[in-house]
Amino acid sequence: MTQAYNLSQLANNLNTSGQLDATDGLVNAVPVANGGTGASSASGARTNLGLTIGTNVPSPTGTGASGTWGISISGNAATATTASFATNASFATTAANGGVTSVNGLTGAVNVSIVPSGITEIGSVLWAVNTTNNNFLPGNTTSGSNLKYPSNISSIAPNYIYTESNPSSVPNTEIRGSFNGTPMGTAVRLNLGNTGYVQPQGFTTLSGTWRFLTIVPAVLSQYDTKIGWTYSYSYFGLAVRIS
Amino acid sequence: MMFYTTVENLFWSKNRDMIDCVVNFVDMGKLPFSASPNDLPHSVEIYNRCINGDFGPIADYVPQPHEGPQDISKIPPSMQIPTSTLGEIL
Repeated sequence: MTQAYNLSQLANNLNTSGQLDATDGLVNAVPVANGGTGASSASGARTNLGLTIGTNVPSPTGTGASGTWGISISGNAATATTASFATNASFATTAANGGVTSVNGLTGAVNVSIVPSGITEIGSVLWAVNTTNNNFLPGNTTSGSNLKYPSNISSIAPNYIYTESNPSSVPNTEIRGSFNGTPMGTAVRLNLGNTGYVQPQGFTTLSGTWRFLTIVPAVLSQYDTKIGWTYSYSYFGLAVRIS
Repeated sequence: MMFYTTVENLFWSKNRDMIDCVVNFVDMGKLPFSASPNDLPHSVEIYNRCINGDFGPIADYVPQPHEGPQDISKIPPSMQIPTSTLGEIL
């Protein structure tokens, strides 16, 4: 508004509907008390309305959004797709899109529990026998149903100890912890020693996915007076559950 | 909870108490997996969804050729123990 109008001039500024344009003939800004902003600029209007960016409200573009804001975001429309930096996220209830795939710039101590709560939880390590004829190598994965672990370790009874010959040419060697996991058995034969074998008192088939950490081949020999010797071979070793 | 995208190649386990399958986990890719109704939550979920037919039919268990007593001739040479050294029960 750079010029003053008299009543005649104002009347001439009326449009065909008898209305006066706000930019023609009005002086000074309409105060807040009268429904205006009391300002001639957007920033001034925000200040007069108590909406100063960075002081009263964050900017929608993020500029001046620093500070502490009591903002509760919910619903898909409010999803934050990218946060370049978060000083402290106290708790995330759900990873909505497949979990955290990578973390950059992670510093400081992170308290993460890696102790499984049970022997078949994720991260559990078991001594298990492979019941397939797959020649697994350390690092290979397999279905849990292919693995059995002893759920009960029996003591070695004298009549379950195999010797190199009869009479024994070398001292007997006991192997504790081996087990017979049907249909495959496990046994351990020490170099120049004996083959120890313990009858099973129980085993459990695993579930999930397991990764071998180390593997030992084993041969189980069984003698029957009618059919003679039969042999079973298997691989067993340490495996960790990964899924 | 573990996240996965697909479940395929469904087979019953030998005792028909688990379902063997291949699960595509979000953070680990495709892995062989035995889903059980008596297991961790994601395993139970996969099992139930398999039963519900979410991932197609479940094939019957296929007996493994190695089941039963082994023929020593099939044992890899590196694993064989000479018969003469195999002992007798005391």
